[in-house]
Amino acid sequence: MRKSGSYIGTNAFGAGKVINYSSRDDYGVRLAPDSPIKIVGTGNFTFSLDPTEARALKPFLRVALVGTLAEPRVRSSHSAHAPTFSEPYETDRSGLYIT
Amino acid sequence: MQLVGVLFIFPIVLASGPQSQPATPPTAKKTAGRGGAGAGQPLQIGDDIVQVINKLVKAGAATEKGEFETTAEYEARRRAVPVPKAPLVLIMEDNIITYDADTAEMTARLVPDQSIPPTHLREPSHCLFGVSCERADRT
Repeated sequence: MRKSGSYIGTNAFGAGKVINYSSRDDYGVRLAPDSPIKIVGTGNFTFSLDPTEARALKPFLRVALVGTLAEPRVRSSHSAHAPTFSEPYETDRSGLYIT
Repeated sequence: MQLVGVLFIFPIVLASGPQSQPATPPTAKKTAGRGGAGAGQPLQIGDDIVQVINKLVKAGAATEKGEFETTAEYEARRRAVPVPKAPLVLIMEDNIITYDADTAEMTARLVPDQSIPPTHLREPSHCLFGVSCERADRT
């Protein structure tokens, strides 16, 4: 989280309104279309586990994507919303993604 | 990324301190590197995507073709970016694991992130996953 909070915004006519703002940074992965493992829509990966063991281990269980970089490039995205009187919020979102 | 595997990882809590200390789930982003931890450091598993990306960005991997740069120069610059040859292991941070006691199956459900802004990033053949997102909900 870079920042979040609120402030009083004022329009050209002097009317004030509470503006909520937030910003975030994303880091992500794009799967290359020629990946050996493809995920179309949703990918479900399952294994069997005894309920007792599952209860004990689930809080610690993690899932990892394993793969190699397909291109020497980092793609970026940015989107923002400027506050208006009818939509009194301000957002700023940036992302960096490897493929 | 050329996805070659999806791993379920049960972190083994290494005894770098007293045995009676409670185990804490590992995180993938607090410190560098993959694998074990030094004395007094939390156990780290996998690669840190923030560090991987920042290193690539520092090497120029995020810089688009410049106005005064020829295509040949641009391609040469891109080829010069040092790309990690070893497979990356990136821990997914979202809560994507469910258990079904009737079938006794643990399932990880990988759903591409649809909330990422529709820019050139989103092409029909690409899935996008947020590996490490720093979020701030509207207040």
